[in-house]
Amino acid sequence: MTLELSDVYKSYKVEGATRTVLRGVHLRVERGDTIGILGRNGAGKSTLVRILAGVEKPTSGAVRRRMSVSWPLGFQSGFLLNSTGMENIRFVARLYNRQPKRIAEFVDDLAELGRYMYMPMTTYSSGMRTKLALALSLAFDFDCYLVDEALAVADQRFNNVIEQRLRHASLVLITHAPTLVHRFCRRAAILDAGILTVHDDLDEALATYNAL
Amino acid sequence: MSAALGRSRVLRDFVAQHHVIEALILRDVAERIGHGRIGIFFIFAEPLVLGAAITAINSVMHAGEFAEIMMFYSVGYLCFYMLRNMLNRAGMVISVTQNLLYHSRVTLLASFVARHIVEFLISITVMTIFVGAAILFGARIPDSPIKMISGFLLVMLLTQGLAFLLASLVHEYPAIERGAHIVSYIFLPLSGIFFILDNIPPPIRDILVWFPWALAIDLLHDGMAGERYKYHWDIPYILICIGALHVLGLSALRRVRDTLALD
Repeated sequence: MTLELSDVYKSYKVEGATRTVLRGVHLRVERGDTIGILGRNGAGKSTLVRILAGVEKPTSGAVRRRMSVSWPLGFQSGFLLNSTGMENIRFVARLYNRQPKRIAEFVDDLAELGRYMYMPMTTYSSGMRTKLALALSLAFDFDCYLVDEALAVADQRFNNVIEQRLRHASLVLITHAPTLVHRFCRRAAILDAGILTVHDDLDEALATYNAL
Repeated sequence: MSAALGRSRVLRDFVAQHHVIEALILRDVAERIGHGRIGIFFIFAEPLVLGAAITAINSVMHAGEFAEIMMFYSVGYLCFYMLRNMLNRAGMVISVTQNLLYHSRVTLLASFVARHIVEFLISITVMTIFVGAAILFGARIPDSPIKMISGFLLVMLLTQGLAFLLASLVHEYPAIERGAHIVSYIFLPLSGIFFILDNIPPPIRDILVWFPWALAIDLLHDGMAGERYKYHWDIPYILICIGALHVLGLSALRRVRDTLALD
């Protein structure tokens, strides 16, 4: 079970000009791997996570996905903000063919949103949205979780669930915060100007990142 | 072995997409209903009231049995209602679906198909109500409901292919979005929604018979009025047009999806 990118390039056309965001990215995530991807704003982190999740296509290069991968978990990932939290949960549960009621109970228990669960998500703070997104993805048993910054909102209860999931699953954590990588990951990679450098030694990676 | 694997994979993908379309249908219905149960009433109220208005106007303007006029014009209007909604909303489906594309299972195709199924079901429900009411008022019972439903389904499938194309075009050139609804008005005279194709003088009819929508609606009229008129529908030709529109529309959608950047 692996998730693998080889020689991935991604460019966007903006106002007629071509902007290249990823330049020849190689990455291999094995089952049980926990890898942090560090990068400054604009380094191409979110693009990378969307390509890993298969929701955007690389301009060139190959993606091989041989395990179930979560949707990219970020601040706004895939919610309809005019609907309530509960409506969104039910929708996602149906999408993945799971019982809406059981998923809703799990999320309600973990995210502790109380009566906000039944209010439109436009009324949520970004922290609440992220909590809901994180709890919702943890309700599913993915082989690999793709998390784009969302772990910043995790409290002790979340951490317990995450640790339990990570006993069997892999994690790709995309962030600009080295402390999160230290807490959850065994190795790290640095994304700088669209080029990804993988370090097998975590401390070496963090030192390189801090020197950027 | 590999053939069996291939088949099970197709089956698995189909089962997965079936759940996706089901989820999207429920979403779309919830969106239409909005908050509060009265929304269910409004979903049907709009076509019901407009259909009744069209019937009223035509029963004053045209001589003939009220019940027959009601049957003919309400059925024609509901075809137009479905077609217009599918085409007018096509332009915004991609942007509305964009946020849901964060789930790799959600495809643009599934989003369109779910919406079109809902449009079809609403229109055919209201159409059934009108046909039932017309019969109560004394109209002749339709000759072949199967032909009516088949004609209506063919109208939906033709329009679906066109909706894919229109949506891709609007995505590529956002400036035309404001004008996209004009397309549906072109169908008013061309599709035979409000006339029987055989009643049109030959030189014009000879042109109209190339227009697949006019033929699908001719089939619907055959199911409604039976032996009273001569018909010109041609199912193989309509199916070829549906196939061609879907090939073009789906390849346009694929092009959009391949370059689509999520927020």
